[in-house]
Amino acid sequence: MSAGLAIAVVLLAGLEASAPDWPQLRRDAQNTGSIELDAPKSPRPRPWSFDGSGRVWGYEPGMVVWTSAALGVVEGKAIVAVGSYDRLVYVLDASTGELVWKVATGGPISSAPVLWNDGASSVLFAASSDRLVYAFAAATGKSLWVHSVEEYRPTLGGARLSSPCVGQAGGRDALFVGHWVWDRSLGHTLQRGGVTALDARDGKPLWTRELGDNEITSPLFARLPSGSRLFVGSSNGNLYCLDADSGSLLWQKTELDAVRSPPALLSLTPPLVVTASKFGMVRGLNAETGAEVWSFKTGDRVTGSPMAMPDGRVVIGSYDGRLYALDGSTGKLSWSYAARGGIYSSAAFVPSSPALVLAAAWDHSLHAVAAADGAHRFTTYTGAPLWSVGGLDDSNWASPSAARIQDTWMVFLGSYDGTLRALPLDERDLRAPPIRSNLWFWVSFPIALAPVAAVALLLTRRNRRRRP
Amino acid sequence: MQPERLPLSKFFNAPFLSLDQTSVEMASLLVLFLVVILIARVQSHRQAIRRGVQVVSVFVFFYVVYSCLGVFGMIRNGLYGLTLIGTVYTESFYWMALPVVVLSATLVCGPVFCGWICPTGTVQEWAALLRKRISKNPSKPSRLQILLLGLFFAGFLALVISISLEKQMFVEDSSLHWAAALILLVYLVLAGAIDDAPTRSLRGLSVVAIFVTAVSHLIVTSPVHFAFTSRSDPASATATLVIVVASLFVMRAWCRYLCPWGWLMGFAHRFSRVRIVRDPARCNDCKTCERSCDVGAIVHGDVRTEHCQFCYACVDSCPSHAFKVVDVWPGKTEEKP
Repeated sequence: MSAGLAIAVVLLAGLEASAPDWPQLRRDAQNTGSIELDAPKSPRPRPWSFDGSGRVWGYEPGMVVWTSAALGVVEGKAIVAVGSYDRLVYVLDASTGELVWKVATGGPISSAPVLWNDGASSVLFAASSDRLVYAFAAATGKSLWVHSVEEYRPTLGGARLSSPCVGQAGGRDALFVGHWVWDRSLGHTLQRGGVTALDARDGKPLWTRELGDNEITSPLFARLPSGSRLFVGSSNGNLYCLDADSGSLLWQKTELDAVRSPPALLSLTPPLVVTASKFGMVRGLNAETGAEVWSFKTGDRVTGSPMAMPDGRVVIGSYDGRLYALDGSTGKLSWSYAARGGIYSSAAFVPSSPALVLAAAWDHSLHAVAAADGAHRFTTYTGAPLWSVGGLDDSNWASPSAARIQDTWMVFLGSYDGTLRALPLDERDLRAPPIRSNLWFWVSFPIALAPVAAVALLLTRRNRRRRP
Repeated sequence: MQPERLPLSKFFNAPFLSLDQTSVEMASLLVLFLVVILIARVQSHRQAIRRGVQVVSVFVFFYVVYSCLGVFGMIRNGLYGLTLIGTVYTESFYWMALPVVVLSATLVCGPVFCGWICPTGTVQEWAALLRKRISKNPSKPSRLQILLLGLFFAGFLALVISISLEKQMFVEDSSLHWAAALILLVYLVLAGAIDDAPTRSLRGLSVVAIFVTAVSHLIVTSPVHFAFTSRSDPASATATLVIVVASLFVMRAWCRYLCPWGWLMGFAHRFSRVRIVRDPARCNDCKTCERSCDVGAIVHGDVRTEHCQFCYACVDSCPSHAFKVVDVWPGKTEEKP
C-alpha cells in the first residue's frame, strides 16, 4: 500500500467516525453498509425477524419485498428503517424488532430509505413508486415535507425512484434522488430518467438533470479535491458523473449493459470510482476524468455495488456465484469466494475482529467470509423467493446492512421470502445449519419421467393393437 | 454523432420504446422469413442454400434474440399477451407479436421456421449429417453405438450430479428434465419398447405441459435456454448437448418426440396454403425420399403434414421429380416447382 493511500485511508476513517448517520444507500461513498452506533438506551440486541410475506401478493419486475436497511440512533435507541412492497416505511427497534412507527406511502417502495442528522434531530428520507419523495422525523414519523418528481396524470404508468442520497449542493444540505417515470399509453408514450436535487431541509428543488429514458441507480455523493460529485448509473449502460452543485454533466462512461447499482469511491490519488454492470465487467475509473485505470471481468452479470474495504481492496459479487476481492489500485484478484448461487447483493463490510464481508446470494443464503482472505465463516439460510416466476433477477433485492449495538455486531437483511431478519454476528453463527439440499430436484426427475414413459408405452400399445 | 441527436430520431423511436428489444427480434425474424420465402423458390443448390440460412439464423439467435423467440417462450408469451388484450395494447402486442408472425408465416408458406430457421433443428441436423456420414444404415444403430449412448447417459447423470453439488438447483433448471425425457424416449425407441410413430403424439403433451406451467406461473426452461439468456445456465447447455447426441441416434429426436412448438407448427400446417405432395404417376417407389427426410415425415411415399418441416429435401432428392409444392387454398390450383 502506498503512503498516499495509507494517509487517505486514515483520513477517510476519521471522516466516517464523525458521521453517525446513514446518508446514502450503502451508508458511505465506500458502500461499506455498516455503522457503529452509540445507543446507550438500547437493550442488548437479540435475534429477531419481522414477517411481511402476508402483505405481498404478486411479483412484478423491479419490485423488492424489503429494501436494504438503514440504521441510526434516535433518542439514544438504535433503529432500523426499511421500506416494503406493502407501501409502508417501517422504523423498528434494531435491538428487539419492535415497531417504533410505520407510515403508508402511495405505492410499493423498492428503494432503501436513508437517515440523516440535520444537527438537531434525525430525518428519514424515503422515495416511493408513487413518484413522491418523503421526509419524516425519524423519531416520530411526522411528515416534514413531500416532493413530487412528476406531475400526476391518469395515464402515467408508474415511477421507480432510487434511494435518496444526502450531500451538499451549492453550500446547502441537499437530497439527491434518481427518478424513472413512464407512460405507455398510446397518446403519451414516454420514458424519462434523471436526477433531482432537493433542499434537504424543505424539499424545494435545486436542480434537475435529465439522463436519457432509463432507470437510474441511487446516486453516490462524494467530495473530490476538485469539488462535490454525484455518480449515478443508468440502465442504458452509462455511468454519469455530475457536478453536485449544478447538476451539469462532467463525464460519462458507457458500459455494454445496464448499470444497476451505484459505484464505490476509492480514496487513492487520483481518486477512483469502481463501477460494475450487468455486462459483468468491473472497472476502476479515474473519478475526475472517467478514464479507465483497470478492469476485471467476472463470469456473469453484476447487479450489486462494489464495496471498498478500508485496506484499499474492492469486494464485488457477481451472478457467476463468486464474491471477488480486487486490489483497488490495480484491479488484480486478491481472493474469491464461491457461493452456490449468483450473488445479487452488494457486500457489507463488518470491522469486527476478524473483519467480515457479508453478501446475499441466489442460493437463498447470507454468506459471511473473512475480509482478509475470503475464508468461509458461516452461511445462513434466508428463505426461498415468494414466487417462482421468470425474471426475478430483474429486481435489486436487498443487501445486508450491519450495525454495532451495545458491542454486538448485528446484520439486517430483508429477504425475498418476505422476512426481515436481524442476526447477531457471533461465534454461534459459525454453527449455522447447512444450506438447503437439492433433494426435491432429484425427486422431481422420476415424477416428470414416469408419465412420459407411460404415455409413450400406452400410445405404442394402442397403435400396435390397431395395426398388428 | 450520437443516434439520439439524428433528425426525427425521437419521432421514430418513441413508438418502439415500450417494445424495447423485441423490435430487433421481430425485424431479424421478418428478414429471415423474407429470405427463406425468396430463396425457397430457387431450385439449384437449394439444400446448400438452406444450410447457409440455418447458419445465419443460429448466429441471429445467439446474438440478437433475447428470450421471446424461444420455442417455449413463444407459447408462454403468446398466452400472456392474450390476457393483456383490452388492457395494455402495446404490451399485448409485445408479447404476442413473435408467435403470431411465426404461425402466420406457416399458414402462408408452410412450416419453414422448422426446416430453415429454428436453431435447435439446425444443430440436430448437423448431428444427423454426421450420423449419415459415419453410418451406412442411419436408421438402425449398432449395439456398440447403443452402448456408447448408455455411456453418454451415465456421463450426463454424473455431470448433473456434479452441477448439483456446486449449485442450488431451481425449477429453472427444468431443461435437464426435458433432456432426461429425451434420452429415455430415444433409448426406449432403440430398444423396441416403443414405436417412433405413436410416440410423436407426445409433442401434444409438451404443449399441455407448457400451457399448464404458464398459467400456474411456474418456470419451465427450454433445453436451449442458455443461448438466449444472459445468465450462465450450465443445465440447459448440458441439455442442448443431450439433444445433439440424441439426434445422432434418432435423427431430429427433439423435433420428433418433444418439441411443443413443432406440434403447433404441424397443426398450423394442416391449414396452410402450401403443402408438398407426391405425383404417384411419376413415383418409381425407390424410397429415396423416405431416406432423405430427417423427421421421417414420408410414409409409403406420402408426406405427413403434421411432421413435415418444409426443408424440401424430398423435393430435391427425388430422382423422378415426383414431389411438388402445391397451393391448396380454395380457388387456387397453381403449382410451384
